[in-house]
Amino acid sequence: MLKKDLLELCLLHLVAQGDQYGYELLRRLHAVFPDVQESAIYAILRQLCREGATERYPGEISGGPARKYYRLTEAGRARRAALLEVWRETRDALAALGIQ
Amino acid sequence: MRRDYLSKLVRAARWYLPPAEAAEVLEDYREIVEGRSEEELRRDLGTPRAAMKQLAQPKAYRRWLAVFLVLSACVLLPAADVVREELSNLFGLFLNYLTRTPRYAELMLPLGTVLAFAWFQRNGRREQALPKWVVPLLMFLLLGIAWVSFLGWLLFAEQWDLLNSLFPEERVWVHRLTLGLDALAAGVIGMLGLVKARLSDRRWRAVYVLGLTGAAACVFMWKMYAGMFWEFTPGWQTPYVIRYIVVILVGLLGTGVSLC
Repeated sequence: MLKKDLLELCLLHLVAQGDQYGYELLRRLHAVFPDVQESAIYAILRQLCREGATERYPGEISGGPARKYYRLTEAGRARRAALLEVWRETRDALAALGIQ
Repeated sequence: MRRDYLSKLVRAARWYLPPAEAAEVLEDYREIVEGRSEEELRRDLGTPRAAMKQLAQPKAYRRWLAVFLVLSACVLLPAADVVREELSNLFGLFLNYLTRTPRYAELMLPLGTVLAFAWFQRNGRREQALPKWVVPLLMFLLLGIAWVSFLGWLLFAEQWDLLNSLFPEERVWVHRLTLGLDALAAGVIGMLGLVKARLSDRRWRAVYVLGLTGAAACVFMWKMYAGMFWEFTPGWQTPYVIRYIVVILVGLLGTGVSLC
């Protein structure tokens, strides 16, 4: 499983917990993966949106431009489940080799 | 400093991404860059170019690069041809392979005009106001075309006395040099129009089209003067005059339409 897939899984997981705006997603993921630039995380977020795994919509305006929120689609839920399955297989395979 | 980063980011986004996507991305990035120093931005996001390059969709970006290459060739090759020919005369080199097809510059004009119009009509942004440098540059290019047309009139109207008084035999190279420089300036300004049409407002394509027209007109007239293929039979100039007028009309029409 590539790191890009891991980041994709994390993004889909965060969005699955509730609609979130883009900047918040970047900050949360960058805090966990500080070696990955936020621009790279943003590129994955855009790609997920382009592929229809997430949807972008404007939130409520409160004294500034409307924040853009992301929500999971049906395709996104399926993608998340598939990536989770790959992650579990990878984790089990590594555990079988004694890598914890 | 943050403003510098943001302005570079805007340019990079508009170069790498289609207009609608660039607008969405920039909207997001305005929030992302808020409250951070230049140093933090470069550390967390990378250079503006790198940040936008990873968002580009390879197929769409390659398509834009192909269009850019064709449009650049249309506006630069005629000018480069004149410079190359002058250099080959200067150094006695035999490099006149392009001058064997003297009409290619005239063919590049409709190709560049139609392609620039069609591409930026579908893939260009349009601001409310006309960009402030468009009109001065168009005027400058029109002056260049007027000079070329004046040289054409001297030739087609057989104004030999005036031609000889303006360019005596010992300075006969001067008008060729001005045509060469005019073609080069038109080519460079045309390139500026092309890049600005992508980065700023699609109406910059009018500068590109008029630059293309200027370059084609210069090459046409330069070949007339340099080629020495005049035949002084009655009406010898008619086909050349018609071709020149068609070049100018196509260019002016393309420029006008490109301003819409």
